[in-house]
Amino acid sequence: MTTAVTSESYHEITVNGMPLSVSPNHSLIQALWKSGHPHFKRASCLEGVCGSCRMMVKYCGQSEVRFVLACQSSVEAGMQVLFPQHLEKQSSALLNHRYQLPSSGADEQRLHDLFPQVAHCRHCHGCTIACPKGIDVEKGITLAHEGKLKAAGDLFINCVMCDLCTTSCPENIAPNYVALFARRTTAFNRPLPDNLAARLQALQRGELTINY
Amino acid sequence: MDNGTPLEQARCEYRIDLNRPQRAAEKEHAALLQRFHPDYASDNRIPLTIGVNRHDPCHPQLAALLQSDSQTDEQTLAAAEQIETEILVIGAGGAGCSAALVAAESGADVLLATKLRLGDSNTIMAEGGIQASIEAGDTPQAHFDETLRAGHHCSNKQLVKQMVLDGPAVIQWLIQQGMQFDHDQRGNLCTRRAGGTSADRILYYRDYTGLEMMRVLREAVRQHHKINTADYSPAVELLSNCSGHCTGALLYSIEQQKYSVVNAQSVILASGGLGRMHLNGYPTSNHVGATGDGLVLAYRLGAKLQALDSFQYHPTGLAWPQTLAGTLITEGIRSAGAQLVNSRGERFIDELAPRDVVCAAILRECSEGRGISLASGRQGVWLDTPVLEQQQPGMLAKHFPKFISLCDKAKIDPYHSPLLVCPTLHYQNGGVVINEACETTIPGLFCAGEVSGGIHGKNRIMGNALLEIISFGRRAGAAAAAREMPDNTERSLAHLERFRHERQQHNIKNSGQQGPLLFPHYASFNRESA
Repeated sequence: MTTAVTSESYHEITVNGMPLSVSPNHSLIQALWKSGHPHFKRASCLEGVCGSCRMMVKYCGQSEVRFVLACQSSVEAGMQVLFPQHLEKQSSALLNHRYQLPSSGADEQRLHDLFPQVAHCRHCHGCTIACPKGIDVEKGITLAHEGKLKAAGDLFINCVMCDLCTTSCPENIAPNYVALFARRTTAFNRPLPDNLAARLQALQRGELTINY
Repeated sequence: MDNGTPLEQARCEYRIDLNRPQRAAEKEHAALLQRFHPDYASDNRIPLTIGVNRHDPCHPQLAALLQSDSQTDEQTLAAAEQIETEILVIGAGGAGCSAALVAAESGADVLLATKLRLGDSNTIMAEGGIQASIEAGDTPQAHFDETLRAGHHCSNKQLVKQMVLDGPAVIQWLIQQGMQFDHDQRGNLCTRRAGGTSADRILYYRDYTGLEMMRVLREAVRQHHKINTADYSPAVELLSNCSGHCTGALLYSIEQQKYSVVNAQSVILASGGLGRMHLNGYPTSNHVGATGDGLVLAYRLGAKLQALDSFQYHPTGLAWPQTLAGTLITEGIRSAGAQLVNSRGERFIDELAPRDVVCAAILRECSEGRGISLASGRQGVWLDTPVLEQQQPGMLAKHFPKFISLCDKAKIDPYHSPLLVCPTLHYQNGGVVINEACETTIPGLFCAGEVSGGIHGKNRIMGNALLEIISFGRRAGAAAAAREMPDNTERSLAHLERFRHERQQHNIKNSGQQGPLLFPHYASFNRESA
């Protein structure tokens, strides 16, 4: 288990408005666990890839509220933490796109059909600011709008699908899903790699068997 | 255990050395394992006292859980809401999602139930890659032979053969779902070598192979009109008819705080492993929900299990800083050229020997005074990444973004400083016995992925887990959908009655522990959590 402490001191923070004493040198999730906080279910991988443990945080002495992944954030004295539970319903309500691969017709057009809101981007940077992985989300949407699907998708290599960009968009664009569509169609449309194609054919011809 | 060199001192003594000598290759892997690998310690094995695997060896912590009582009774069942589906899939990682997709493609109505959210799993954390023999110099036969050898010839050969031959088609299927892989300049899929193998057979996408796979499968599942998903709904018991066949499951919705009975013609268990049981007090690389639930459910229903005393301790878990202890550092980094170095600056093992051997070698260094020690008493050895950076500048940043973000969080500069690593509980080698169609010994119950056993023998090689989950996940989906509806669709807990009777007969004491665990004790995420 991963929560041994050597220090006896505690940090005072607030969680959903309630004061809490937590051990320092811990990630936010470890600290919440250790303090016996009972109302926290959004944790899974603890490595910053599942996007589950998103939280709103205001650090002591700073005015802006930030979105963070709690497993990737250390406890700091005086921080205010809010579980953005209201976002859960909001993000699922925003997802109306339906498609199957291969998508019929040109993917660039299909993207606009599936995500018509892409054309309405206000360039407010809200999505980019919200991204806990530092992705230039807004640029991705611009590229997608211009039909540059591969370039748009490539910006989202680090995306963990936390939906924070989606919930922060005033035009109800779902940027991470736009990017995922771009990535999936890019992968699907790529010619089958030679080494894989050759092996598939050899297997089909029955040339490769296993004996024991 | 000898004390080893304190971390601060070892850090001062560390020098980058491109010509580090490597100790002569181990002649006797068996002796090394016998002396140092946790699986081989005699107190890590006791005979089970009840159930179909009675008298079989099992890890004591797992034995206590498998033989623990259920939290369920007939009253709960009677009061629960009823849900009908053709296929119930339990677990929404790679195996569960691919099973659901294939079952849905063949026309079945699928309910995909998961303890956390769709995609929350060990799959999403997989870094190294997926094995498939596709290079001209490589053959499926070599893949087969090396899987068997690394597993100490304890695998079910038929299952391994099928999986290995599935490999290239699995990759093609994943690409068709929209998954990206790294390509070389000629458009071929990039490959690299896994420990314990002779050919470049690992396909990957950066060190995000699992994340990329899961992003794509999750979206494919979401987009499929035949699949319904139930998040935060762990299965707490399977259901049976009077012939003992599996006919559904009892789910508990954490959000609504109520039970539901799911009636299904087939149930696919794809619930993953048990790293969060922290066997022998080890840290783990697993996600929070990996608590061995599937083994408990299957065992109570009477399904046969195997190799319950065999686990993989991945050689390179982060040992310092302590708050991140157990976090995995991918074998891909060793495959690329990072070295394992003890406190004396010696390379003590072939970094690409099989995982169990590398793990035992690290534990040997620590126990013989050549480790690097922490104030907590835990020890580790260096993973020398500066050497890799010197030899292949830019390699780390380009191919291992997940690793770099881990280093940022740990405040370690991997270009100039080595990382302290020690083994971390990573994988359950055994599991539920299955045949080629993923059928268990209980009709109506199928298994795929880490919860099943027989493929990896006593030690798994890198990249075979991702191959297994898709290969067997797809087969489970197809076989479950093809199964005809049984005549007797009664849903009861008759098997639980038998199980409780056996507990009584053998005088199994209530330890206060009930199975399935659902969550580790320190994650205070109980049934009342919202």
